[in-house]
Amino acid sequence: MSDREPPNQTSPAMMREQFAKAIDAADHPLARRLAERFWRANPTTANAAATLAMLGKLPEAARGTPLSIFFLRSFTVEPAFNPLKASAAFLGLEVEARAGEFNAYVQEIIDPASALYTSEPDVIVLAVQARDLLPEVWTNFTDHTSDQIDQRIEHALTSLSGWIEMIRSRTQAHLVIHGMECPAAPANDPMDGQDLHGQQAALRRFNRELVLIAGEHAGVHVLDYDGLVANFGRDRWHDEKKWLTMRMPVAADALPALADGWLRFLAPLSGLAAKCLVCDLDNTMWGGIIGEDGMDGIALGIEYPGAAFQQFQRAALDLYNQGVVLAICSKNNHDDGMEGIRTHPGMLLGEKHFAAVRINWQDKVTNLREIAAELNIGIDSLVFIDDNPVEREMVREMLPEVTVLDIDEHDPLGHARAVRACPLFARLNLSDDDRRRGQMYAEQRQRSELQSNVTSMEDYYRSLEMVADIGQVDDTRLARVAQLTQKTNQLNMTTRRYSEQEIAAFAADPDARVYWINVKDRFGDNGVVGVMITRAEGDTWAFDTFLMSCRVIGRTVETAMLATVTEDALAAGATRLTGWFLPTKKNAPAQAIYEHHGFKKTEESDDGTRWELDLATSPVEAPEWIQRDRP
Amino acid sequence: MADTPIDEIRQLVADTFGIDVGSVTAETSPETVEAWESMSHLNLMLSLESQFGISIEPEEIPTLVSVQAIADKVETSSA
Repeated sequence: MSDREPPNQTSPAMMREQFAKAIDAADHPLARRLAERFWRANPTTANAAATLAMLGKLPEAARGTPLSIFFLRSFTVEPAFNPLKASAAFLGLEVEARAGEFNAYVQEIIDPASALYTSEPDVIVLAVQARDLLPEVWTNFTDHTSDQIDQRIEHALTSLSGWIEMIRSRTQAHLVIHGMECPAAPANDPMDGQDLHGQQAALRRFNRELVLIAGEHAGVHVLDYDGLVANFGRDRWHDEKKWLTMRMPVAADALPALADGWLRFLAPLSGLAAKCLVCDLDNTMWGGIIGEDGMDGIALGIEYPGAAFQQFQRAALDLYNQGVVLAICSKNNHDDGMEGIRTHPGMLLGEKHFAAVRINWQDKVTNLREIAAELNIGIDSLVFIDDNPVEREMVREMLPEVTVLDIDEHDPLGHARAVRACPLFARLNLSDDDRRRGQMYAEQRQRSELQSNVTSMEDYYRSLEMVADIGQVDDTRLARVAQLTQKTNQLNMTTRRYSEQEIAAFAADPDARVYWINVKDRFGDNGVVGVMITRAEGDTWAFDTFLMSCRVIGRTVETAMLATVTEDALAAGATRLTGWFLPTKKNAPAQAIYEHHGFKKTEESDDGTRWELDLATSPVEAPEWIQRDRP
Repeated sequence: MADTPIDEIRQLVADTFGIDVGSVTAETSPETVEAWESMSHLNLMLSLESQFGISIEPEEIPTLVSVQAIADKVETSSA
């Protein structure tokens, strides 16, 4: 790769020229990479418009998944739309943002014919401020007794609660509510900071209650606006004069930060979630080159610069603990790299944290492909971090589906920041499965070893001692069931993505059933790994959704699932079970499942094939090696 | 394409209103560009602030309605 020039500090004008040349040459992948480089080099409000102008020159197909957002607002949010659209575009989202009338959010929520509902947004953002919602707390706090303040807070929370319920009753859109920020100059400072009935305490109490109210509803989230402002710098965030003259409280320089704050919700709400962080070793995991500097020579420990690499490892460990799988991709002698990982006293991560390891002299593109294949996840589920700009460009060019984090080898403290800031690692809730995923991958390695020791597949299935709990969805499993519909790509017959609200709607429908299956074996608990949604139509039961996680592929779990539905359908008097297979780029592994279980093809269309099982003559038999429990 | 302030301003105007930079002159104004309305004008003002590190007073905003007027403002602010 020595013939590849690393991307150096090119001037904006030169980047525009390169972009124009790529467009003239109709090299759209290159043009897109150049637009991304232009944006990432300097993600300012000014460059957002330029970036969008560049993206507008790409063919529609290159623009991403549409996501519509409606902003209910009490201030001018529109100038943040360009930075939002630019950042979102490079995550694969084409954002369509729309703002309601200024300060008319209550009317818009109440009126069923308002644009809020008729525009059918995917996400609603309630961008309100304490000065509108709680003027007694924000503006003239010292005129009130603490009882009056409490009443005002109570009243505002009751109103908000009512708005949430009204929105929920009319749309299944996700709702993101801005929390309240604290004033830059609180009344009675510095006493206020020590006063549990002070101004800041009142706003924080409101925020805490708001989080509790949001938690009572599916798909309602609170954005920690005060944290966003504080991280950026409270003084720099505000432009008081523009607030007073044009209701624009956020300074130009802070708009991209506000957009990123929104994006950390929009990415997970759109189902964009990276599953694996692939890490380079030298100058990424530790400072220096282990093959040259040796164990004693690399920087990794409690002193700077080694401490910066420990911070990076801590960030990776935090991801691991929330269910992100870690992998290594490094150009090194395998033994040198492994020795560093296994024995360096400064390592916070260890061999057990890595689900796949490629330490070799192969090119990184091949290694990344192999890692995705070994972990049975899509190549677009990978995030790659490497200090070497040449490697990063190579991966961007050859594997555009992989998300590549830009880090600076001269600023190792930035490594942890880059990992923590990546919206693809933002999660809105964590299931028990998420917390245990890393461990489950280790167990999977043990299962693979066992498989090579037994002679027949049936013996292998029996040796696993599988126990399947199969039940219908309840509140405790709503989040995991929705998550599986959003994340499962391969063993998924219809690839229909559902939010928690939509799953709850199925569960409430007397004709529909939402099944989950949890599989345990002698190596551990795999967690909830399958979902089936059926709908009874006369004497026919039809699958709306039938999916299974790749975690339990090749273990006849799908047969146990089908057998269960067969039994329930027969018991309910049905005679037929039907389902569509809708092919996507990724679900080829699911293609033959219906046929293997005795279904006959009855219809073929552009979208896919419809399959039917005659329950009387050919019910699905449950595999005897899976013990099924129906709680 | 040298990065002089006037060229940068022309480029910003072109990006903000979605027009070709070649068509932007010192005289370009809301009269000549359909997309130059109040919200996109605010976007342009915020872009100028972030690009040139200047502060535009609210009372100046309605007056900065041509490329020339903007160039004069940028010049006096960065001088």
